[in-house]
Amino acid sequence: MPLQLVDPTISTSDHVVPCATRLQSLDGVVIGLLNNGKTHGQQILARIAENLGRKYKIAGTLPLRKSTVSMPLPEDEMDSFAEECGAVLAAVGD
Amino acid sequence: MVALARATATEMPNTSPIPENMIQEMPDDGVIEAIESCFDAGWTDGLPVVPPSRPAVEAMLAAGPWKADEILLVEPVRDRQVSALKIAANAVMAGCRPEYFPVVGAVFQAMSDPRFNLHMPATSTGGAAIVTVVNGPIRDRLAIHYKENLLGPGFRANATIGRCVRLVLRNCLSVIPGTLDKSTQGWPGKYSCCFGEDESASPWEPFHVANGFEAEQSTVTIFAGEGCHNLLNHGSADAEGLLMTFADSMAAAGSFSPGPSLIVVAPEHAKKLEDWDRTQVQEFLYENACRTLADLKRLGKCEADDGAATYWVRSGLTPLPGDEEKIIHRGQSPEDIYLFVGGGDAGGHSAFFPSWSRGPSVPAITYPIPG
Repeated sequence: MPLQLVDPTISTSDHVVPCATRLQSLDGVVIGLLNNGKTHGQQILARIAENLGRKYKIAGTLPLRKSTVSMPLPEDEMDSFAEECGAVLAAVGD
Repeated sequence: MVALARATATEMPNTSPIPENMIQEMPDDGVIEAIESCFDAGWTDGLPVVPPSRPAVEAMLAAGPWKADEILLVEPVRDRQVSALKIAANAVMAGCRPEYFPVVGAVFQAMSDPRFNLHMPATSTGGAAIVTVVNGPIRDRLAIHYKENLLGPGFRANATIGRCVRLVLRNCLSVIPGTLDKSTQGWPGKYSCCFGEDESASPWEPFHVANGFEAEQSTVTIFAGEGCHNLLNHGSADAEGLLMTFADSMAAAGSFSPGPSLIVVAPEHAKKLEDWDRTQVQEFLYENACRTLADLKRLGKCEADDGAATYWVRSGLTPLPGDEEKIIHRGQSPEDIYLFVGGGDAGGHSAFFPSWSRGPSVPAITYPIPG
């Protein structure tokens, strides 16, 4: 007879988050720069924004810093940030 | 366990709380093969586990007050909810006896407290262990050890309750080294770190009583800690000399931060503190576990001032006029120093666990054990 073991794990397959619709171009787009709040997040974002500015005619950047490193941005802040930005970059700089 | 592991479907009660889709069947080729299959499935911490047979998990569940599908652990960042059933399966694997399950469940309920911010200590490069201290009558009922070698091996309840924490993090929250567990080095307490407080050797009320619980209410206290430092002092005749040794270790650059501290005071040291109350000791340690801001900047303990500085860590890299006179304490206040008593009666060896956190964000959490 087979041995019956209880699966001690939790599957991640039901936690799939769909990707946002991809933009065709960054020209004229305001780029949100979401800093995770760790030591070097801001530096990484600043460098990326600089490079994007050279490559595209972006409309500008909008920085935002999370108040807590490990927690998602509060939903109301997330909503207003999404309204103001055409695309958002998030950095995990440690 | 051999008999349990070999139990077959025909022997199962038809009232099992375990859904069929959570059962994995495999050929019954003996105990060693079952253990090896747990390794193959990626369910272990590197040591062999007890195969979580259905009857063993049912017995574990039956020893607690929770239904199989009751959620005991919530981790909001990754939206994970862990049921009593999953925790029971991991408790079996860790080697827990069923009567330990109320303690195990309480540990995970404590870890669900939003103040603990579980995602951070579970995943950070800092490599924290979940240091777990048990208070109250359940210590003696379950033989949760609090005397000689309490931080070391040799005691089933201590070893297996602490081990269950790591297995659940791995198996239910995907806290796996190199993927979500990004510990730069980690430390051996991540296998297991659970012990009791020696309440009878303490000059003060037990820790949980000092935090508002009745003495008869057993509790767990969890703390995200770095590896502990030995506080060796055999020579001080009085409390001040002893506590200056403690403070000196707490102020060491390597682990200096605004985070809290957990200290396990050895009984021999506790006797020297008999004339001091808990608050006096906390205040003395806070006052003396300190460095100047200039010193911290020279040591590379500060980061660039990015305009969001709310505490000294982000006050810039270069010493400024006045920084030599600016005194920075370990922790935010005397209340950030958690004092327990434990260890063998002989020896001047206490222990200091620095908080894993570099900020004041993760306090110790005390939670009642049911029953």
